[in-house]
Amino acid sequence: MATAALRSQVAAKWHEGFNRLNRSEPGISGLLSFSQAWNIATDYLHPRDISDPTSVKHHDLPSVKASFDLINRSRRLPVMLETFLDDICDQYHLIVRDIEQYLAEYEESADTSVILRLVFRLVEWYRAWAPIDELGPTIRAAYTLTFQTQLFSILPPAFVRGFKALCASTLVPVAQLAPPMWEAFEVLGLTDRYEGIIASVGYERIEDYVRETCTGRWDKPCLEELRVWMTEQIVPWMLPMYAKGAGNTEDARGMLQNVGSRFDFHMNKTLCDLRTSEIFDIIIDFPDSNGALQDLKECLQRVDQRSSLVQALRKANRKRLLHPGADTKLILSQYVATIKCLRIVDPPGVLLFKVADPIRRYLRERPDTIRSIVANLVGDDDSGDSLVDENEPIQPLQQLETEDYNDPHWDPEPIDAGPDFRTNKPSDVISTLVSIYDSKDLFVKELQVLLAQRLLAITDDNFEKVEKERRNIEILKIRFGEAALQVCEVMLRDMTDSKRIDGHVQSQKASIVHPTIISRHFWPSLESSDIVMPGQFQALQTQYAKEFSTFKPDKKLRWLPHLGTVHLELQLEDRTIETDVPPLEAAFIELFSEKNTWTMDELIEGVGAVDRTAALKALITWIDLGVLKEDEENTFRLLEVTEEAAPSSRTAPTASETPTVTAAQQQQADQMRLYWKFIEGMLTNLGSLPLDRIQTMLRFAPGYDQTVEQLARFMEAARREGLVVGRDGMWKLNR
Amino acid sequence: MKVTVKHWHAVAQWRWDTGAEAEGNDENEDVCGICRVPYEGCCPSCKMPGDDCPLIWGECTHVFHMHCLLKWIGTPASKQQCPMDRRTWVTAERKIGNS
Amino acid sequence: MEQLTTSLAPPRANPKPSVTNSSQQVAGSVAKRLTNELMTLMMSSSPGISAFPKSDGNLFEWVGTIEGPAETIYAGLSFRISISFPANYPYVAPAIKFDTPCFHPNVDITSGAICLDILQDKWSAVYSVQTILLSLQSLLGEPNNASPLNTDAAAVWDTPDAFKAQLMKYYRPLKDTA
Repeated sequence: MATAALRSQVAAKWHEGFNRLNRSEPGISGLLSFSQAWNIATDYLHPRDISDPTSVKHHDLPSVKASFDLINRSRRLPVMLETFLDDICDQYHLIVRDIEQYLAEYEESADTSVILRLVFRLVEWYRAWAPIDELGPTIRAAYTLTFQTQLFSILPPAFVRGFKALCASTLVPVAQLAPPMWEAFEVLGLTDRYEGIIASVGYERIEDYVRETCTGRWDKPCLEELRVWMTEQIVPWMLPMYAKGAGNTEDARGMLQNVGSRFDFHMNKTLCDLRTSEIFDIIIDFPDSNGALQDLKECLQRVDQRSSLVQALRKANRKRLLHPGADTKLILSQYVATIKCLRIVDPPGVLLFKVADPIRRYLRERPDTIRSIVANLVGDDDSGDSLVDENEPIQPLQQLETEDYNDPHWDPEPIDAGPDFRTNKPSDVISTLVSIYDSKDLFVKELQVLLAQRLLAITDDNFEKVEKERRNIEILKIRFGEAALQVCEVMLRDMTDSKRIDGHVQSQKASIVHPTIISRHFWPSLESSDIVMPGQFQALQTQYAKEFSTFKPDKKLRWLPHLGTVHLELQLEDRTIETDVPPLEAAFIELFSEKNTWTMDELIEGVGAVDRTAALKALITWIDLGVLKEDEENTFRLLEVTEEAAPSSRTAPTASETPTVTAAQQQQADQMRLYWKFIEGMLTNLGSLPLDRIQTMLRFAPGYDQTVEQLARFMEAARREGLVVGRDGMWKLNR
Repeated sequence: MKVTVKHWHAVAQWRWDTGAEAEGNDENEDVCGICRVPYEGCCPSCKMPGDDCPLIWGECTHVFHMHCLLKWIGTPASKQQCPMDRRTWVTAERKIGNS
Repeated sequence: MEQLTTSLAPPRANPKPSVTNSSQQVAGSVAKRLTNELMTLMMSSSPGISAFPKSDGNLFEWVGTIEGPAETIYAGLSFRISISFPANYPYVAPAIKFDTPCFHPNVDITSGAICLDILQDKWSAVYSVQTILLSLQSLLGEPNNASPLNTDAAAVWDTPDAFKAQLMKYYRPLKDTA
């Protein structure tokens, strides 16, 4: 039905359209049909299998561009993009196949280069599928997003492991191939995606390195060295990742600052953790571990690990130090080392206070703590290790309890100081040790006991020892005060006087007796004894005492027969024995010179009175020397002629270590009775009193050394016994 | 058997020979009535016992640390009397040897 | 009276010699002797007498307590006294007075002053707090009516009922005052 007019009209229209399509080119050379263009474009974009060489198609780039242009002008580009992205998803199985292959190989070989190849392979995929740049950044971005989203959704955990290993492998030593690898990561978006993993590689490397190089190495500080290592090894490694796009080193430094300080923090923390775990042994090693302590101090300022340090050390102390198997001396020296070490780490002393508290409480409960401290003070320690530094200035004991508000150097207490924190600022070690106890009296008493023992052990031909003790006491006077050691002064003078008196007595009438003549009341309560020395011994005593009283007419001697040493020679039928023995041994053997066989009871009677344990111990001395034999139980015979040594039926009674000097602590029970008398006295006259008042008033009681807590327990016990009544914190007698 | 003592390092205490002392009993000891410190201790103004802080005997047989008694005699309240029996104090010549 | 006090003079036994006790930092020999006396007093068990320093800072001011001796008119009553030691004790007697009003021929009822020879001209350096307390305790039952400080009391001493009435009129029981 078409008219010519209509046809011409359509022809004109078509021509116009054709011209447009053909870009007014002559003929049809410029013409491309839309369907043709679509086909060319989609074929070009279609994600191909790069493993399949046949899939490689050679496109005529101008016509591809023309096709895209046509599609673009036809406003069909979005549809095409959608199709393209769908194709990507559809074809991703090709990549998955590749990934599986590589990962299988990696699982087998554990070779990180496989992962690296995989990464490069993925880049290949990415590049192969990428649309041409002419399509503009939007399409490019959409493609990258889709590719990466797909990639991340299908990457299995095995890849993540491999990836981490790969990163790590580039650290030791820093690999040459690093830059292309980082570029590949960047292309695939792995850097952002796995930032945490990459960082953890760095952290772990730091941890490993710190442990490898610093464990057990305490003599020199490590931190500086570690920082150099960080700068030389870790920072270059971090550059491609954290300083990408940095134009120059200045820029790079700025970009790295933040992450760098995170790494530095991690290094500090690692070292801090390491030193915390080693702290007990570091303290044992002190002062050879000074470097480690310097590091710890610096680390703690950066990392808040103070409480875990305290916990670790307390735990180690509990486990390794504060148990019955540890020697008191060891505990003391570790405590002293702890004091010194923690003062380096934390000069205000909060850490020390927290750590020291359990040690001090433990030491207070040990019976031989005071003795050990005092023994060390006077250099009576077998170990020879003095708790006190030779070069630490000797200073008077310091009171730690009171805070001096007039102190111009006063600082507020650190924030983690507890309410019961006591600053122990520059106090010396001895003051700290003495302050374990509430009063220094116990020390002074123990000091007297120890000095007495040592002085009485000195024989007259060894007088330098007395001088040594004198020098010791001079030093201790500075610490404990002149008055406290006045008694020791008298003891020392007794030693000098004894020597002088003996010199005089010997010049008048020579004697083999050389007594130490002591002043009663000034020597610690010496255990008394009722031994009467028999035979020639008594004669020797009497003779000497007579000469003494001639020299000192207003004085007389009272012998302490159980003390001292006798050097004897025994002439037996077939042998002569020369030996040093305590007086009781000498007394017994003297009896045997009268007759050859004695029963235990006869012997005891022969020396006045002595307890059986001590007697047996003395007799065993002679049995062991082959001088006596116990033929039947409790009957002893002198061996004028050596007899075959029969296996000794006797072993020394174990509990026979009879101390010649009564230990200060044994007086404790008597002291408590004394304290009660004082409490009774004050409550009688002063009415009812609060506990703290009773505590302060008790300082009138000689040697009062109880804490207010101990007093509270004591009052509670008195209340249960109906002696006192306590109401509203006031105590009064129950009358 | 013959026992020969070659050397004896013995230990003894010195005591003032107050003449009246019973041997043996260690707990009962005499103190100076004025300062209440044992004779073998020293008076409050001394630091060293013994020859540095001697005793003084009265004709009345009472014994004090010399320093304590002289100080008492020096006070008007003493009227120069022995603080123990209020007899006029006369220092005794020291009896030497046994009493 | 004098016989009694002299027989009380120095105790032979001293539980622990004080020379070895270094605890008392209170300077001076007087403090030393007072510490010693306190110790002796605490350790001796003389019934009905007691004394203790008033405060921990001052060894020279004591509070004493005397119970009236049994079978005297003062039986069952307790009296507080205050004792003040001079710096040259024991060469000079301490100053002593009753804090609890004590109706007694030798005690001033208002000031508490005591007329007792050993506290005045008969003082001796060998006396002690314990001697004084014991003397005061026996003075309660055996007043010296020859030289009364309280003439009213001396006057009614021989009529126990009247005396007791006066005594109780003035007497104030001890209170628990810290």
